[in-house]
Amino acid sequence: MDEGINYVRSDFVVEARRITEGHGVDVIVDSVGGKTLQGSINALAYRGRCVTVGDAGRSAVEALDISSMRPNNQTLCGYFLGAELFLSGRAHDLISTLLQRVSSGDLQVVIDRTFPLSEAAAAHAYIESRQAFGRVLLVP
Amino acid sequence: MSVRKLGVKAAVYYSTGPPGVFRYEDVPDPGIGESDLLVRVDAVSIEGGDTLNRLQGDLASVPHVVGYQCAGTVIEAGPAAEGFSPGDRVVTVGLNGSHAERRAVPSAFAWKLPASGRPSPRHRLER
Repeated sequence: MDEGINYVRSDFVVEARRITEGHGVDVIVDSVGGKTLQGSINALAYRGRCVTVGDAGRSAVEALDISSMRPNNQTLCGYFLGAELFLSGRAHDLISTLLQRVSSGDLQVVIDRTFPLSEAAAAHAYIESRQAFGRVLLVP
Repeated sequence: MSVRKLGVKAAVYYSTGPPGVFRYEDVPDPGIGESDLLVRVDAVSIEGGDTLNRLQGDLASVPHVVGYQCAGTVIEAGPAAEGFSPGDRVVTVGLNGSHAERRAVPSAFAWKLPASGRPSPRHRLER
């Protein structure tokens, strides 16, 4: 990772502009939605692309201000892995490649904590407490 | 899909809501179709979507076994599940069913772990 932004302490749109020296971000993968998705759009560079992949923020539907997108030739699109797995071999191959890279140590999986399967409620509560950094596992 | 004997432990819920809706119970051993794998679950990666599905929305079954992703070992491969054999270590993804001792998934939603690779490195970051 070249740069990390703690969105709790600072405005990630402002920080993204600062880090990219005003250029903006070329590709954003947004898994949060809601107000964060608006921020992602606002952080895009000229010809930047934002991909919405989730709604971790659990936000109600919000009206997005896309007025900056047309003058800046920007793109907003969605991605749903489930559909790609059903309809195309491309996603399957991509995941195979990622697993190879994990296996070789090229990519590292951060595991925060492991719970027994019988304590699924505690594991979910731990995730929702926003303390986890990395994967939270259940082991039967 | 056939239903087999009771005897698989699972984290289930009967209605959506906060984490306290989970119960740890026996559920039917998931049956497999021609192209499916029956997998012994070794580790569940809890996904953000799992917590969202537990919180709200319709249940595909009652009780419901939530969960998209897990790693495990193939117990049984359907006759059309080409390329998989019992004993294969796999990563699987499905619409539900990861929060259990066993799950059934279409073989198209499973990946064999690289045989020559070492186990996934575990890297705990200091916070």
